[in-house]
Amino acid sequence: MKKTLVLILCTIMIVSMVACGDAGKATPESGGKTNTEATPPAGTGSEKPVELTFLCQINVDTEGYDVNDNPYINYLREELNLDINIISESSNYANKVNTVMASGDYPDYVQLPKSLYFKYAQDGALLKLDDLINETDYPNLMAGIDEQYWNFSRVDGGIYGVPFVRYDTTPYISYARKDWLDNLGIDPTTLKTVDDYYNMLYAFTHNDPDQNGQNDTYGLSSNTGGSAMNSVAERYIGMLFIDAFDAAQFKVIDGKVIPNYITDGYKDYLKFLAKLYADGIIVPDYITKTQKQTEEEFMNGKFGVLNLFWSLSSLNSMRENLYPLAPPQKVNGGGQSKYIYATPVRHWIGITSACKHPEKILQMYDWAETDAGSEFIHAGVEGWDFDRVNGELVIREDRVGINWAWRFITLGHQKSKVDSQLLPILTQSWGELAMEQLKLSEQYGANDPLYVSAPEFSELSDYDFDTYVASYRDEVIMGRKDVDSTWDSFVSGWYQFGGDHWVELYTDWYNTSYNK
Amino acid sequence: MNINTVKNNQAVETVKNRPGYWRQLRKDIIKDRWLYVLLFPGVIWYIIYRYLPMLGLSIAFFDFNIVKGISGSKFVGFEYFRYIFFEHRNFWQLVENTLAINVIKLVFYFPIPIVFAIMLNEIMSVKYKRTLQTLIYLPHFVSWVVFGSIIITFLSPSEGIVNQIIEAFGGKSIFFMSEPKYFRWIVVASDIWKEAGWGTIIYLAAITGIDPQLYEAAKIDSANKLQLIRHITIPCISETIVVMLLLDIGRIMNVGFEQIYVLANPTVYSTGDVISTYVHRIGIGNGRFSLTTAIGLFQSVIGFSLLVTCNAISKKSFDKSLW
Amino acid sequence: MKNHSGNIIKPEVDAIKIFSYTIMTIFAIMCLFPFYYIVVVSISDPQSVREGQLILWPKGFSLDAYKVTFQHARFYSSFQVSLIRTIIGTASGITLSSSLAYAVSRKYLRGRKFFTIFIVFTMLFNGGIIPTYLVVRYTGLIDTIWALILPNLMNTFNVVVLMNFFRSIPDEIEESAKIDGANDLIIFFRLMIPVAMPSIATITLFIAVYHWNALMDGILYINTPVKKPLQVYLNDIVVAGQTDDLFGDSSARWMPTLSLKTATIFASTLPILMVYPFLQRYFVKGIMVGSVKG
Repeated sequence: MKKTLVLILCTIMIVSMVACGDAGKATPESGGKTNTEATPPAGTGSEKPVELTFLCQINVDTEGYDVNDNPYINYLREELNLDINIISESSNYANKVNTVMASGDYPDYVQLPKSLYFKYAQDGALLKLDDLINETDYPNLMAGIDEQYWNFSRVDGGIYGVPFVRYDTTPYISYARKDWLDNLGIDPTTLKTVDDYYNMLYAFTHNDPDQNGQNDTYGLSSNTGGSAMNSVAERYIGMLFIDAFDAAQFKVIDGKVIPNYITDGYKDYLKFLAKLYADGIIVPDYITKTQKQTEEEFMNGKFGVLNLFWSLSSLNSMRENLYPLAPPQKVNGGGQSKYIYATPVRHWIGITSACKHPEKILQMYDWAETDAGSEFIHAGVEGWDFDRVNGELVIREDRVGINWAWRFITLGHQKSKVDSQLLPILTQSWGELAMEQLKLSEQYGANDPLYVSAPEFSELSDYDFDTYVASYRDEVIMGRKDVDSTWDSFVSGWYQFGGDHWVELYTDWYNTSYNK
Repeated sequence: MNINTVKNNQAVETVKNRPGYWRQLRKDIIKDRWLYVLLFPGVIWYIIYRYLPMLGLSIAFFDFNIVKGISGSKFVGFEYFRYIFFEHRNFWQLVENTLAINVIKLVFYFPIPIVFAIMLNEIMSVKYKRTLQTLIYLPHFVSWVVFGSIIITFLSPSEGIVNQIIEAFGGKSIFFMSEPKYFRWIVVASDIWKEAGWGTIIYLAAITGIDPQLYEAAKIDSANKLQLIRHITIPCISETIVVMLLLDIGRIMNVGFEQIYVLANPTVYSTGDVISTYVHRIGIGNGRFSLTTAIGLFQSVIGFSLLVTCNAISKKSFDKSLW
Repeated sequence: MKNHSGNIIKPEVDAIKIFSYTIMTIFAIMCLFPFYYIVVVSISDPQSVREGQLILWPKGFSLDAYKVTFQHARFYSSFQVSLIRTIIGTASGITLSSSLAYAVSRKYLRGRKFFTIFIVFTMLFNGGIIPTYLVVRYTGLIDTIWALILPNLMNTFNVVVLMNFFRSIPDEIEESAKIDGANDLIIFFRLMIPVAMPSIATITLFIAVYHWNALMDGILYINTPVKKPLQVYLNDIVVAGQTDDLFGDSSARWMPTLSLKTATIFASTLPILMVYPFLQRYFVKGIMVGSVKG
């Protein structure tokens, strides 16, 4: 036993020495980086700060700081005169929320994805906010969030949470490699129809676009996963084409609402993808790739077109070599199709019934919609992340683009629109080219109006539609099932095992609550 | 002889009402009082941290509202069971997949740690034996996330080493991870690679407990190696083997979630999607507590029934059992 | 060469031995590979590391993934938490498990069958995450280190293995001790535990490994970041690298996930690998010889 302890102690010593050897990087305590002008503006309150507990999912880099002791949360506490205590879980978040809420020991406010937001609102754990929110008390909050998003937040007619609306409500763009387009002499501005895009992808696959003398390139790839509507596979492989086949949105047929994957358009879309696969255009083992692998393969020139966020994140270094494709014209003559994005509301902030000061939280989010709040989230803390030079906000070079995600999760809300105040800050973080592509994403993208405003019915999850649809989709794409002969039984199978219930619930909602 | 022989339970049952019964009971408890002292803390712990939570199984019979708790939730009886047994799209397929994987495991995986332990016992050099032991335990510590991706890469149709070997012999590359018929075997084979080494520990410990004099005596009777294994090693660890087998049978309705989650993709769900992956999908993000509790209860009841049955059979046939 | 008792013997060569050496050596090499791969990837240059590519030699050389893992203060606090919970949890776990297992292993104990079923039943029937959480909460353990120790103090599988081992000890040992007037406690602590050492060492290892690798209890029961155990911290690091792109954080400075995954696996396995050899000798030596009188 003694030997064991000695060995363990030695390990700790060695490890400490390695760590201390990087003293420059280590940031153990708060304010570990000496930054002399780090005095955020003092809070306005002479009153005692209100204590609030926030349950959220901080799953991004926090530079080694404790989530409750770092420049950002300290700034918020000072600025807003609130004593915020964060409970954060980066993974298994749903489990954490469920157990915390089940224990009856509610936090004051909690970050909730759509499914849990609807569930806890219906179960009565969240405060109804309709009487509280008004333009007088919270002018910025009401002005910042469009009425439609407040309507999306209605559960049984009441609003139970503050929606976090992305300022890029339609962030997808399909990108093609510029060098391949150039090598093959394809002018992307001439691509209009689905056939045009098919030909481009065919050329990417068979005409040696990287000019290495080998037949080792593909047009498209993907990986699997995600829900049937917001599927990553849909996003990667099919996002370029799905709306062109009119297969991306909920439809109302004969007065009944049906999901996109039951429409006839989806059948044609699958047929098209199967053709792509059969012609060798899709990477054959896409189904076992992880998202990271797909992105890496794209970077390394294995295939030529990938659907991504306009921000490109980890592929940002490729931006110069990427051409943002306009979506093709719809096959049935309906004009240009769009890149459909499913969740412009990333999460809701629910205020629980245990909260004694809901107005403080709403004030906090009102502040988030102001210029000051927007600066905090997108630029950071003055004297720490940025400085004011001649009245202009200049982000420090080594802090550019860092921690935006951390800050907005810590606060729980951000400014919902890119206005003249926000644009220069974003430009500093991302660059001009990225801002142009953000604009393009707004132009090329759309949300499905039915899907985004529809509630989430948790009992429908029992039917496990996602695996049913995903299995069928991938089996068809890979040529294991012939879509013409199996489509009808796929649809009737869906209806038989829960689809009926789905249609019933959504049609009912459509007839009663949907604002047309 | 001071040691009491096993009480004849049947005799005790019928005499419970006799006045001498309670007196005998008190005498026995006092005689074995220290054993009950040893027993006591553990039992208390079990009651608090295992049996108290079991009250939560009742959620399966209610439409559980997390805010109102059980008392505020609507009683629905066997409604959820009715749903999964008769109306669910593929619940029985999930059960079949779970059972199939575990049966394959019982047949192919179960003997391997035993065989390995016996083989390791043959290694004469203590140093080499320890090295081998340490090596075979290593994959146990690699998470399924990483281990699964290794398996997938091994079996990749384009770059995987298995297919490269196949093609070198003139065969055609097979996309193993996408063929439903291979999936269950891949699950078991990868489990063997990852866990069989760790599984030898129990049997090694059991073999260590064998009295070396038994071997000496047999060798004097000029038994060869195979006979030693057959007639001494295996019988001496047979109790351990039976107990482990019974425990595995009890858990036959459970397949670990993480391994399947990492290895499966939609094209193999038909043979590979199991109860635990389904429960993970619907229970976690959607809070379907009542349904997932009902499913868990079903798994437990089946597993326990099988365990009781097999325990009785084992007791009758081999005189070895869990209880 | 020497055998286990330290006597020099002439090695017998037979088919079984050759077969055993061959098979086990091959399997051991196979088992080495995944771990070797992890080490190689973890010290490779993170930017050259590709998911889905199996390599035998590091690509470039970099300890950055380890630096990221070790540099944050939370590594030390979580390491400490895990160390304490493992030591206390293992010590108390093996003590209670052995005591319970021994008592239940005695064939003459009244209620033995009942207690055995009582224990095994819990292996199959489980209240679930939320009911267990509620019990943990009502026993006042939330956000304390005891939430990492008590709720999983014992494990039926371990108890059953120990019970089985105690059962297999020949009756003569207990009989002769009782003739000499020893009571059950003395027999258990002075006699049975040494005899059952292989089994106890095994279960001690299992419990220790469980505590060291436990993740979910740290997530569910602990709220304060400094009180979280090691695996939660390591998991957080890996997750942070994976979700970065979802939020479009344009900084490309975060380390590729695979480098982090492999570095964290190796970092967390190392302590166990160091402790293991000290327990190993208990599996190898038998302590039966000489304990039976007459």
